[in-house]
Amino acid sequence: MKCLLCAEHFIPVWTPENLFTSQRTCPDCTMKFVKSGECADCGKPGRTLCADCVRWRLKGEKLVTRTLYLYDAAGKDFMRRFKFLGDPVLIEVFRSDLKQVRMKVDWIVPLPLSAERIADRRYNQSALIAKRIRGRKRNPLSRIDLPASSGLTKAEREGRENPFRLERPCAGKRILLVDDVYTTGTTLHQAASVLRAAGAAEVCALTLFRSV
Amino acid sequence: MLRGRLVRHTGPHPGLIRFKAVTWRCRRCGGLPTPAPCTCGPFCRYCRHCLALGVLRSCDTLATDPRPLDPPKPARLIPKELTPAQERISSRIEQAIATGSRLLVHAVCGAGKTPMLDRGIETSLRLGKRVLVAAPRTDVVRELARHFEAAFPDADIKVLYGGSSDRLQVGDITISTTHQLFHYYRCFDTVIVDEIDAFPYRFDYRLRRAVRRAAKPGASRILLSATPARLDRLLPVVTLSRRYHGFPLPVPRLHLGYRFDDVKAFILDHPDAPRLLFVPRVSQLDVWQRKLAEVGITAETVHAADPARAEKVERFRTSRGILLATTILERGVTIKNVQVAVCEADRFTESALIQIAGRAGRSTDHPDGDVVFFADDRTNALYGSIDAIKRANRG
Repeated sequence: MKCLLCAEHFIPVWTPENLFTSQRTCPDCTMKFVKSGECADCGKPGRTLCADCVRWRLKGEKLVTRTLYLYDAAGKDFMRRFKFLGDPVLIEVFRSDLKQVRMKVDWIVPLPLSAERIADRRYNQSALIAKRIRGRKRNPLSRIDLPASSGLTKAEREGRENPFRLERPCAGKRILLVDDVYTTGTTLHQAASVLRAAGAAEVCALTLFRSV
Repeated sequence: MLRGRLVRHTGPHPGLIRFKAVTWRCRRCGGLPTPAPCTCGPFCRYCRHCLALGVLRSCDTLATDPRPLDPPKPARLIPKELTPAQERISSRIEQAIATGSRLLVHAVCGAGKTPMLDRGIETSLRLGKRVLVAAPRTDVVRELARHFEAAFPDADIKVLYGGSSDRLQVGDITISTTHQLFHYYRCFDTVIVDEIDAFPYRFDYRLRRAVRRAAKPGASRILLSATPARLDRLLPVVTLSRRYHGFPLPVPRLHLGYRFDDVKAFILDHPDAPRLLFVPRVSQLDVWQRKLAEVGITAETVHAADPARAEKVERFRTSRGILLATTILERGVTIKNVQVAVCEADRFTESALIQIAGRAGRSTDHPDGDVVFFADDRTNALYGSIDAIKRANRG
């Protein structure tokens, strides 16, 4: 089989655990991704609740986010290729991880892109991630075009205007938000606050990477 | 000046073309595209093979700059001294270029293939034909560029490789890696391809296609190789089996059933010469380095992904040290008085072994060198390569 990440040939090793999962990356490339850490709300390694999440909780905006991997060199390289070079097939790398995600929610909501952004990139990376999670996908949100958040400082990110608008009612629903990278969590919290204001029963989130 | 360049923009030609009831093909590189989500609908595809050149989808368009190029200007050549044998090949090349035909030049390692091209290129420019010299490897391209810049001091020469400043330009003489040719379509009247048997050109149909498409229809094609494949030998061939200095090629010694002590003895036999040891895989480099360190021999290693590759080779040129290398050093490297050993030679291909043996004895001062193949097993490649070298020496 050809590895999706390094294009080298490798022989998948079958074990009872991975018998029904697909191996699309060679063992070397699979090893490069590091599982996220201890923080209960965002998976940041170190403490059971990181300082950022304590601050969110004090503000009364608790959002339990499950992050799969750390946004280290391997993660950055992955996102560069997946999102900025335009190689959407690479999401298959995390196919079996995403398949194993089981959450008791009614709706799975990928964070939308603005119309301008999707015309440029041609696909929504969060929607591709959400597609591989079991459950109902819905798009109750829309997004207005603001400058990209990658490249802003923490203070600038937190002071931004909320880009999300509600399009469809979501009252009483338990919702899982899906995004690609959790950096400061501002984007996810903004989307969650819009949904909560519209009467969502419970909001949690999932991202592929947690930046460190 | 960005002429003959392929650019992506909206226009009449779709980026990927559909073959009836077969499949899609990438217009740029000829590879098979992959289905992917896109705003255009559920059946969009994109090409992952040439993604490094920018993403190309089936809903995108690929366009060629159709403006005609200025005819090339004749250039002054500083002629180099050629041996009578080289002279013969040189005039055959000139003739092939003038008539627009194809030719395979089968010349042994160290025959001086590059200077034989000079007169052909001069003729080509005089006839108003644009010249492309392509090679699959960047090191070879740099070496070719150095030669032609000296031979044609006032010609318009462009050198293209990943990260060069001349990218996407067309000169009267363009020296390029085969990978850069994806950007060109019907630009050159004379195409010279050096080292046609080198990895990855030999196995990659996309690169062969890129070279074919960079040439104008009816362009003359000159292929150069020391170890051409069977299929390439069907072209008209000229053979040169003498090195430029007239000495025969060093015939490799075959050492079957070797032990580590034999390799150590080889290293200790040549204390005042640079010694080059080849191993079949990158992972073997560390193993051999450790083994040698245990007996008190320090060796450097070099492989394709090594960031300090160029410096290490440059340092090795002037030193009398030991260098462990993978097949990246099999061609295009000239080191004075080098002694060569191949560890686990039964795992190399025939052309690799011929090229490796051709590293030894390339300079006039040291026309002979020791070449040893250390092998555990007998293979056709081992015997074939030694046979080919002996046959070349017989002439």
